Amino acid sequence: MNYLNYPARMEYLPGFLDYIRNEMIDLGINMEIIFEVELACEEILVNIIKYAYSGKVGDIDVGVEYEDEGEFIVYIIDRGECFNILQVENPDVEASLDERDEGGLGIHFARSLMDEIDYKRDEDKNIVIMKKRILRKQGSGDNENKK
Amino acid sequence: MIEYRSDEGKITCLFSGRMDTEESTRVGSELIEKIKGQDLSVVFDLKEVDYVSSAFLRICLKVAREMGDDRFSVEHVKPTVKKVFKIAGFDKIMKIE
Repeated sequence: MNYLNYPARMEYLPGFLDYIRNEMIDLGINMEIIFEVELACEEILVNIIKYAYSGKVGDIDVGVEYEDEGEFIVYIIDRGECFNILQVENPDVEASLDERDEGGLGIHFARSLMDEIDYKRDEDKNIVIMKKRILRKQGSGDNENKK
Repeated sequence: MIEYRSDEGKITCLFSGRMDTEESTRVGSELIEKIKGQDLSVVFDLKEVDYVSSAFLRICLKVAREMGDDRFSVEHVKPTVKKVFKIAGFDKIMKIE
């Protein structure tokens, strides 16, 4: 798998998202699913950009993979502080207006919009693996000529 | 992008395009300053918006707190965007139409 590598800075966020979106468009994935995956990826990337490197210079790798069973998989890798996304508590979405917490919404979105999120710590790397089951438009994408 | 329209005690904020993290951060503080302490109601019109991130929902939360839920509403929300408001549980604490 190829990875796109950019510095972990906000000005590179559109570049990461364009890459993920274009891969999904090429596969003929419908726009609603593209929106959901893109939003989930934006939230995870923003979290890394803001917090992973504590103000130091760092970078992010993004890779995508499509499995024939109909799963689109995004890998997001940083070498910042150890951060297990699976241990973040969801915000209380039933709380009253005054009691609402402003934090934690982004990760809650990613969890809700993707079908599966996994986390691995591999030496100095945080690896987030996000999976989405997809519906493809008939007759589009790279499987067109396969049996 | 954001365009403001004032009309009889009501200010409508007409957003357009992608209200992603970057754009929401860019317009957020200016917007809060504009409406702070004003005796009016605020409408967020999202008919031209097809993408919102959590940063935009945080702006909604701040404005709803500032105005109170009876003087704030979010209107013309597209289905994909509405789903995001629902995931956040915001449909229970503010008017989403």
